[in-house]
Amino acid sequence: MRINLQLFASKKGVGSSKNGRDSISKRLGVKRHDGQFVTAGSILVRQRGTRIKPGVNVGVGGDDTLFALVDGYVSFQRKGKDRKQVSVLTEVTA
Amino acid sequence: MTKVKVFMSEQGISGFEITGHTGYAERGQDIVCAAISALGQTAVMGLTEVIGVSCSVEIRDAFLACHLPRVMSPELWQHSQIVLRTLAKGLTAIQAEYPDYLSIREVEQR
Repeated sequence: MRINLQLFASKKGVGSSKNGRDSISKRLGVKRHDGQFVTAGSILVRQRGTRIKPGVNVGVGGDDTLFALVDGYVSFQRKGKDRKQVSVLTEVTA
Repeated sequence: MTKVKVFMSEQGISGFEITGHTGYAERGQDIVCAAISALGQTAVMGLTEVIGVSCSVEIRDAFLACHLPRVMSPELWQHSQIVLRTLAKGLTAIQAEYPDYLSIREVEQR
């Protein structure tokens, strides 16, 4: 029989050294709001993935940033049950 | 805290059970754990390898149980009692020094 002198010793905690880190904030979010006038090239939404889809006159950047393709007014719409999209309209609709 | 149950029959100690992490210090530094581990396993070795009793023994992490067989010759029983009482004495002495890390309870067994 081999003797184990640590039979009743607590196990070492694991993983704690991997905690306690954070990253800098990426300043994501909606940058231009519904009804606001924007010029072509203005950033409308910074996001990870396309939480908000591009609509009319809106382009998608390499990091999924949405930006205006033309001068106009920002319009957020619901797309389906749980999606949103943003468009830039050249004329304001009532 | 490590808990010890000493099972008592009318004739003496019929077995023991040690459970739970001691929590005195980190693994590798825990002297209370080492003392209890050594005493418990030495008692098992004494019973099975020195006296030659076929005890029922269970050892796993933070658990050690040893029970004497129900039927034994009076001579083997007496020898076993020396080992088991020595174990109980040793554990009681540790408990006296480190009462926050070890508790001992006698359990009547018929």
